[in-house]
Amino acid sequence: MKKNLPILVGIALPIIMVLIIAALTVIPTFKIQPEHDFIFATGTNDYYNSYYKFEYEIKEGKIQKVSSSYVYPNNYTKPNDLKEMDSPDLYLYEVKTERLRKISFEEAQQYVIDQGPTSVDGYNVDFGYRGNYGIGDLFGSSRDNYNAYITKGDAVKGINISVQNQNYYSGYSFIGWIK
Amino acid sequence: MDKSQLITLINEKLKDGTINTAELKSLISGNSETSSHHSAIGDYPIVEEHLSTGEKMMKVLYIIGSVILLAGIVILLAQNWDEIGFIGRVASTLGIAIVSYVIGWALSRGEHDTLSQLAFAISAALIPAGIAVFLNEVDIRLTNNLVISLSLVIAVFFAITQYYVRNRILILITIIYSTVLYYAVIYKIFDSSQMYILDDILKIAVIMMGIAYYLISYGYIKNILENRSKVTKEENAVSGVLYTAGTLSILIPFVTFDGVFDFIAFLVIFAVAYLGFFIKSKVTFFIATLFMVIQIISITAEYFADSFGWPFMLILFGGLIIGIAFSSIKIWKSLEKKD
Repeated sequence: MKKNLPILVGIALPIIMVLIIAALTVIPTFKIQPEHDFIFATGTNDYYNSYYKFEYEIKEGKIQKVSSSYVYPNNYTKPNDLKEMDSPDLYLYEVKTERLRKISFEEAQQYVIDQGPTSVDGYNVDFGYRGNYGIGDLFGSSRDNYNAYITKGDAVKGINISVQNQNYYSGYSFIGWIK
Repeated sequence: MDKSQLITLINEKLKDGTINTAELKSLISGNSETSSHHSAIGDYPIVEEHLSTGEKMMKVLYIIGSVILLAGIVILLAQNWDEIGFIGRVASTLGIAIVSYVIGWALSRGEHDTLSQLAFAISAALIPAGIAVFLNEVDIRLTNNLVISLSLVIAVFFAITQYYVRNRILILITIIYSTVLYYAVIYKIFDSSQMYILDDILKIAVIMMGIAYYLISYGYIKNILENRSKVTKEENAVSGVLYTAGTLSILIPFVTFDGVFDFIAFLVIFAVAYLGFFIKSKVTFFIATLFMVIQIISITAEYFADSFGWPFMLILFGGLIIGIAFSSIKIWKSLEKKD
């Protein structure tokens, strides 16, 4: 044992470093304990993929459909395959169970919604990838792991709200926190 | 035990891999010296290889032949990559890696030690290429989890091989894949916790890996010198590679720290240069000297260039480089004399 001590310490050192980094980076995520579920919509009007006739807004804590204010820019040629749809899909994310489910507009209307963006207990939702790009990608891409983040101060917790047929460029939009 | 029994025993130990020809040669060259004659710091006396001209020629031809063979394979594959199809592409990368591994193992017991090491090196280099080709063909993206799993499996695989075969190159291969595993795990932790890679933590992680290289190299040589009085050239090379990697892993992050670390880096560079002498590693001493020059230039440019102007700074830098080079040679020689 004593004979191999330098080698053993040499092997242990990287393992200890990994444990320290894990402790330093994972522990702050334990602080993320939001109380309120939230609703978001997928798909926004864009130049290439989709056009929604209606969009959502919150009035006095209730979700409503309003005619889209989106105007197709004059300097773009409208693609022939541009999909014209009624309204973006709605999803409810349950923070306690970390479960995502699609909900109808009628169900969404039943909730009292705080459009935030900060919840009453101080949380925010950020959409979009937040990976460590660049040299880290040499060790494999992990961009599909999370595409939204619940944040409070410096603490961040990733959540996966991947929805079928949804690309990052066609967007997620935050509707509000359920009171 | 009479002479014939002793020869039979040595022959058996050579065949079952307990001892290899290089170790036997080192034993012959080191003859009656024992490890107690060496200080704990290790002063790596190297076995003089008593190879015949034919043996030397064979070693050189092995290396030249392997390089030409590899170049031929690479060119042939590159020219016919699209035509050889899925099976051909996988076979020509992963297949050759497996065949090389088998050759490396098969030749490790005999006198073809150099060829065995070359075969293992080819195998270790082609395995990731083969896996990348395979994954690309079956349309699987290389995720972080996959890198962790693969580097772990390959590192353990070569570590087990090293346990049975006792081949110097396998130590380096195991360490290279363990290093990949280490950084992949760190990347995974950062990514899982959704934190951007924190530069300073990453730098400390690299420094820790550098210290680990030093300790492993030191322990490796120390263990050899406890059993024999001399190390082989290849064992010394393994140690040299690890010391070089260790020196770079410690000094590169240190000189990139800002603020008060600009000045602490001088102490660290000086400590590493002294360590270079302590472990008898000229390459460590040389790299540390080089970093001393870089650090002096960087600090002078950062803090004094505006006050003194660039022409004066160029004269100063030139003088400093000459001065450091001159004094480092002097220091090395005086330390050698003292020792």
